Amino acid sequence: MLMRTKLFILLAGFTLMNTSCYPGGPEYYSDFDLVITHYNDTYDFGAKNTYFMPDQVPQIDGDTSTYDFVDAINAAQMLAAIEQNMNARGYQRVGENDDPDILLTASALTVTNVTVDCGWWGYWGGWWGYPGYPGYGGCYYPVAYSYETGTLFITLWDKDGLPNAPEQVVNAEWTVGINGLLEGSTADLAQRALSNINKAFDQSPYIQSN
Amino acid sequence: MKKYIATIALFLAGMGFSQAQDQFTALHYDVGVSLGNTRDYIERTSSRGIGFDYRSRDISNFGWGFTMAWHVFYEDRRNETFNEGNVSITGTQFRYLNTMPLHLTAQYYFNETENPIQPYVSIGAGTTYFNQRTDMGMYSAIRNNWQFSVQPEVGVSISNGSGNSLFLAAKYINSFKTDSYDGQSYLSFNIGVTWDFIGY
Repeated sequence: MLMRTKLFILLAGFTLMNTSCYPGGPEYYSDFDLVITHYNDTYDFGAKNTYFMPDQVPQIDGDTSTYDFVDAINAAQMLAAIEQNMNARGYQRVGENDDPDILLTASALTVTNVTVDCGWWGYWGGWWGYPGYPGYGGCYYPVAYSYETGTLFITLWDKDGLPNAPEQVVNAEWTVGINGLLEGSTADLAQRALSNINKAFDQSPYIQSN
Repeated sequence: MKKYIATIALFLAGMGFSQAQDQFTALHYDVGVSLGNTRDYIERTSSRGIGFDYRSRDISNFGWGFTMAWHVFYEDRRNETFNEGNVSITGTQFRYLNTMPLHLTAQYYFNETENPIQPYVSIGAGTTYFNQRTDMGMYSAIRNNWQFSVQPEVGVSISNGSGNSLFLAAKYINSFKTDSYDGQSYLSFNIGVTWDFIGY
């Protein structure tokens, strides 16, 4: 082989190895975490002093006839983190019957996602003339995998803005959505949830009692 | 008949002309430095790039060619908060920008063809494909765009006397805004090797 041809192949190989469409990306489960907050900019958060927050965190599962709850230990940790942040912002947690100014609730949603992928060998099978099994969309060896995602909602309502009837829709004054992969150890999940609750307050400086 | 003879004569003359041309291809490794809107999206210098140039030059100081390249910009922004109206989002963004400039080019060479060192200036025009992808959480926002673009360039090739040259170039790639995508710009620094057509 000519030296110049070898040189060409060497240089082409080096540059192609160095180039890829999407270099880098998520390495840890926490890389998928999102903390989203939305607030009503006409609401006077500073004029409020007390809040009521239930001791449990309901699990939203689409079935309204029964209620499941996040296990007590995790719920207690999450509610304690919320309370700690609210206290630091000058609010006082009170009982349901102590005429609180605002109502604060936490709830959780878990979704299981299932994905079917052909994998490269599926396409290879197609190249050699095998159409694939019927019903698998042409995949010769489909691969299924699943993952769970979770969202923790924190919602703040004014006591005067609560619905009078179950069907009535009311707007929350502050809404938090903490979304991420429910993967990793229990301790890691708890740590991520607490860290993200703190982030929700960090990005909401308007939550401050006068 | 005279018309045919004239056509054939011109064709043969053209062949002779093209045989007298210096033609080469260059394969180069590219480093990209983002500017303007591109820099607003990704500040980090790209070390992932590959490019290909074809050049043709007659005995004068002028030449033409075309160039194509693939440049990959990447940056992650960890735990940043993005505000839009009453909504704030904190998370890690993974930002990718793949660009593929395709340009026809014209060159002016400062030295005669016999000189082993060939500094030049060039101007190119054509189109550039942009694939911009932003991953955040489990969501992706993808934008694909073609834009008209220009490419001023300076460079030099240094021959080793046996059909190959060291190729060094700096290209400014500037694309123009469309309805759906802002204009982009960046510098591309190239180092590579050329192969002369003549001699094969």
